[in-house]
Amino acid sequence: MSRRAGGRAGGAGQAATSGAGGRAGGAGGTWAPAVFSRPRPTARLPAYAAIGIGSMVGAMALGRPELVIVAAPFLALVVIALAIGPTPALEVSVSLSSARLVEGEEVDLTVGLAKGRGLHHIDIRPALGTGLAPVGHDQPDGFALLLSPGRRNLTLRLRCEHWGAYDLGRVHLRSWDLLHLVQARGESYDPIPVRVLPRLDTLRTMIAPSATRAVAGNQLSRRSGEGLEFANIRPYQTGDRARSVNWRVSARRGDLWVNEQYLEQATDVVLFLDLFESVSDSAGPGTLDRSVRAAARLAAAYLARRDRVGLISFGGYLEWVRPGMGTTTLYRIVDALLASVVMPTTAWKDIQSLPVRGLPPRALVLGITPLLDERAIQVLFDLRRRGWDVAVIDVSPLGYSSGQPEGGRAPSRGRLTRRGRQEPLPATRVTALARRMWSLQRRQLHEAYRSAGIAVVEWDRSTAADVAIRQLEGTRRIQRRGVV
Amino acid sequence: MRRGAGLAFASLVLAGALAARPAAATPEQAGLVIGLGAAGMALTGLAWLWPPALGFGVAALIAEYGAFALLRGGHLDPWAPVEAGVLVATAELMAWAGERRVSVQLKADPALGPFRAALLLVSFLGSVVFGGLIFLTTGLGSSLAAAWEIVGGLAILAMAALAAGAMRRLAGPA
Repeated sequence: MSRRAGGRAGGAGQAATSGAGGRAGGAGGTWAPAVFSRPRPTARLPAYAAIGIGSMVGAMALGRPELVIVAAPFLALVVIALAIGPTPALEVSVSLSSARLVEGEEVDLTVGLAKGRGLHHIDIRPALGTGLAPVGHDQPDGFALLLSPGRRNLTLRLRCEHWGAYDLGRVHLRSWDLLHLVQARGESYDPIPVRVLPRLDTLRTMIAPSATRAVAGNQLSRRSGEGLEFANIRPYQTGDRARSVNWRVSARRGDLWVNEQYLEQATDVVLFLDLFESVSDSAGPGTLDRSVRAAARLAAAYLARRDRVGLISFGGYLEWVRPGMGTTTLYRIVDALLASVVMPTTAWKDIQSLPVRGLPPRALVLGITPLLDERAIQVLFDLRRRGWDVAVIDVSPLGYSSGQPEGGRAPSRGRLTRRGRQEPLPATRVTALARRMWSLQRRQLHEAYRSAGIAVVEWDRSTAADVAIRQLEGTRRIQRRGVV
Repeated sequence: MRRGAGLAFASLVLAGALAARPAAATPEQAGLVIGLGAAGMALTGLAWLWPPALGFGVAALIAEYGAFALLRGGHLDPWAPVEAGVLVATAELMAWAGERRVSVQLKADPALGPFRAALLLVSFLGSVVFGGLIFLTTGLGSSLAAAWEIVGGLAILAMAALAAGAMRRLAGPA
């Protein structure tokens, strides 16, 4: 079960049942009336009226009927425009060829129009959001139509450029009378939530939990039993299967000896996502973006090998997805990730520990955090103290300054920064010293984590997530050997 | 090439023709007439970048024509209906050019351009015919001059009232 407070559009897209573009797997298609504001004159309407009246006055004053002749058509245009009016009776439907997409995919947005009597010039622009764009360079993002009575369908091809949850049901309209002297703005809205999932590339290395569940799975357990991977040989005991007998060793020793394999069991993994702070710049994805992508890939990889995966998003609001298996859990986790936003907040000020009732006792807690907020840092220490197996991927914010090695400003830990840009400072000795001090502070924190038994690795923005995960797994193996 | 440049050029050509005829036909007070014509052309051209200038440009051209008519004296100018039609065409062309220049990235209906061109032609022809009707009726005789004065005054009042009522209706309740 997932609980959610805040975030973006929720709910499932409805399959299209009527209107334009209704097809299996798509979303939307419901007709909604277009609501127009009160008509407004364009700049020309009062100008034409003033010209007409002024010319009439001039004709009277000068006694020249020619001015009446030139003024009359302008006044006639004003009267005709006011009589026609710009507001049509219009219904709009929006539908998508698919409601759940992956970054880089393309989708067809179909706008259906059903219009009453009259001829109108209408501009139509679907509200697309920042992560979707028309396909191709300089492609139109709307339509300018001469609309007659009847129905009409218009299709726009969009590319999903960034993961997120979007609502594509809003359409902005602008209508004119035929003379373009009076216009009215309007819109129609019928919510159509769209999920654009982050690209879930396969991970080559996984972080192995130190404990497994007593349920069959793909993870090698330290206990021996029925499995595929050879573990050991031992003397035959009553009850052992005949096919486990190692005949070669038995022949050499004169007694029956059997093979032992490592048990393949499932594990519990809980992804811990820090949403207190995020850092970004114009050079590429920010720490939140990288965290969400890494969490999505890890969730998909663990679920693919039949582990149970849960999610805790800790930040301005707390959201968790209880550990589960299969595609349903993957969608729940991804939905929760898509709603991830950094919300600056002073809530949770005194909380030192997380409500942990939802955490399985032997789960691996994998923290994905930029280690900027004290609350998230302490929660991980707390979980370790309570006995959970904790590992941390430090989504390093160090590379997010000016792009130069010695530039940038180091935000203080615990200070709530606005999500978005760090303005780069000139590379001076002071900023270089501040950056070095910040880097040393972070290294000290890493040491504190290691002392507490938490493996931590710094994930620089210039390296792939695979590399960081491989390093973390290596660090954990070394730690385990050190303990043993 | 900027969108609408062709339409703006056509509008300026018409405005130039409107400005040139009175300037050429009135050697006395040529400065006044030429000045008004030049101002009309300049403001009409400016309307491509700044639409509110269109009204001032057309007003300047009409003022030039009024000065021409006054200086010319005598009978009605038989080209007045054509002058009216060309004025309307000038204004509508420049307005269209300005809209095309600022139009956002929209995929235009292929029927829009021809339809608007047809509407422009209808506006021109309608203005000529309407102006011609007025021309014919005003030429019926000077004995009707006083009556026409009254009709003209009433028409002005009616138009002003209509415009005020329309603006109020558009503005909505207070």
